[in-house]
Amino acid sequence: MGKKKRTQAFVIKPWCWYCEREFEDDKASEIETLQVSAMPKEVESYSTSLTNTLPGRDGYDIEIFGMEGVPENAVAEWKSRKEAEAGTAAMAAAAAASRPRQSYTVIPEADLQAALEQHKKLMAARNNPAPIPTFPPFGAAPPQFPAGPPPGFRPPFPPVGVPPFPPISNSPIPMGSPAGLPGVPPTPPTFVPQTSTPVPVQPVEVLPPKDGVMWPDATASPAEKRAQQPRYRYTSPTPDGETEEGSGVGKKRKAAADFL
Amino acid sequence: MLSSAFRAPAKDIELSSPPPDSVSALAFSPTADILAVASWDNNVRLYDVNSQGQSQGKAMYSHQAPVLDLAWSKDGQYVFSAGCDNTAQMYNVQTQQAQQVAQHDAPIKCIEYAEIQGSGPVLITAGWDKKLKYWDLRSPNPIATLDLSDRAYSMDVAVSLLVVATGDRQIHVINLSNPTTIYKTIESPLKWQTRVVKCFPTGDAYAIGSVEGRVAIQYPGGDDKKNYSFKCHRYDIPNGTLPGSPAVSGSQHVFAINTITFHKTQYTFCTGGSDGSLTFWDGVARTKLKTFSCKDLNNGDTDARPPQFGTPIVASSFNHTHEIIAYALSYDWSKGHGGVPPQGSNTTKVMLHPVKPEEVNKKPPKR
Repeated sequence: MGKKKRTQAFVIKPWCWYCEREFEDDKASEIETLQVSAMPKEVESYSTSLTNTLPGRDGYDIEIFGMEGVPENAVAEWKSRKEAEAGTAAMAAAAAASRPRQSYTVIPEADLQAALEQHKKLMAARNNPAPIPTFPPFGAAPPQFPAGPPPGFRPPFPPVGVPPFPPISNSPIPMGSPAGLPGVPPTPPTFVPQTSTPVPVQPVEVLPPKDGVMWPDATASPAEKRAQQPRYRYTSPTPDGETEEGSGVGKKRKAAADFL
Repeated sequence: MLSSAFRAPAKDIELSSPPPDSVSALAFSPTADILAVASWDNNVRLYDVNSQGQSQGKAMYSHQAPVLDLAWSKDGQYVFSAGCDNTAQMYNVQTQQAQQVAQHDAPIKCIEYAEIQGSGPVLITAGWDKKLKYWDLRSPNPIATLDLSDRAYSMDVAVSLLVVATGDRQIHVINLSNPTTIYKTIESPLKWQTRVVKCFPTGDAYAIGSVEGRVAIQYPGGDDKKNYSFKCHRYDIPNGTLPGSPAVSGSQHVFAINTITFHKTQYTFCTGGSDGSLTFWDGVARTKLKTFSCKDLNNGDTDARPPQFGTPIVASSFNHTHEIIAYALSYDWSKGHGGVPPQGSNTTKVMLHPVKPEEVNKKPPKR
């Protein structure tokens, strides 16, 4: 829970003409006469002069109800006085409000400095390697739990009656054969290398963090962006004289740029 | 050295000679402590890891372009890898021979190995050509091909549940008992791009991680009331304490969930984020089990001013005994070319974390 935002706007609060007291909120103006609430009892006593008032404002010749009836010149004077008082503070507040909100996505200088220090330390440590710490020896094997699903387990799918794959897969898979390791190596399947035209290399930039999220890019993953870098880019061998399949849509183009 | 006595001991052990470029995927063998690591430098490396956490290179083979995903056969004899050269390779760990077993028209982003009842093992690939293909490993032609709504971003399989997440925020659910039809397609419950999808080992649910620090748990069996989502890998930006910090309170640094990996017997899971931290969760009890902050992992300090986020965690995997979790730290391209570590420095690390039972054991059911 954060603090409630306070309004910086300059407002004249209700005030009492008699004693120049300010009131915090509008509730004060709901009270029938401000002076009664401010100067209790004396008013009801109908004394000829009010007490607790400023000199010259103790008479009944001015009738005030709430903020109504306060002499206009007094209002103007009060206003100018209050403005002068608040002037400096208001100006500072206005300046703060108009100042562009600093983007915290930019790495601050201090951060970079700290990273550099850390890196230097790391490098220093690498040059003078510390003795290798050893694992505490692993104790006896932890108690093994039954490998099956727990009692409350419910299979996620309804049982299916159809065989998983068409019959082509029914032949045993070589790697499953026990102890047949070097024995008869399965004939390696031959793959025809696919063709593609090299795509002009463009530097691939990533979006800066947004709202604290480090990867705001919804169109591609970091791995895809990375795979497009010239350093990681893969160009498949193109067999001579063969026409290009897939009209040059290579793997790297496919990755992300097409979807941007 | 006196000062070393006061330093917190480094808990996690670094894999020796990690790849020189970013890791795209890593996976422990299901039968041995062999860790396969796929990298953007076109290579797949295999490491032997012993019970002390010491590691050494075991083998390496290459693609002609960056490798994007990895899978092991169930018996641990073969590694399958797929990448930007539009192919998938099958690597025999014993004979150290690799051969091509699949082909797409665009980079293959996801590869999974599955055993389908009545049909035996199949290789499943999904790529940026909007296709999902099943292969029987001997034929140059796929057994079956499915059209996806968009480029495949992430895929996982457990028991008979196959889930594919695509670039248009759709989640395709396939029942492997009937693999040639899509059982159902839903729009992701998360509003932002899907980064990772992972099945519960029970095969009755799956978890989706988005780029906007959020994880959703979905039960495809129709029990919609059990679906939920939660936020994680986010950091509040303190109001007005930093130059350039936002005027509104409640702002956060929001990081992508890069990797989710499940504990195969506890059904708990671990998320790794672009911020460089790891968190263990119990998806059934809906509780957080353990957080390893950037600071805990010696990978930045989010409490610092300004916060120093670590190298992103891009991949993670439990070993077959669940005593080690391996996680890869490397640049995930979230800042584009400008975020590439300077020439000569390699931020890529693969760390081995000894798993304690209290970090991963599921919560007892509530009475």
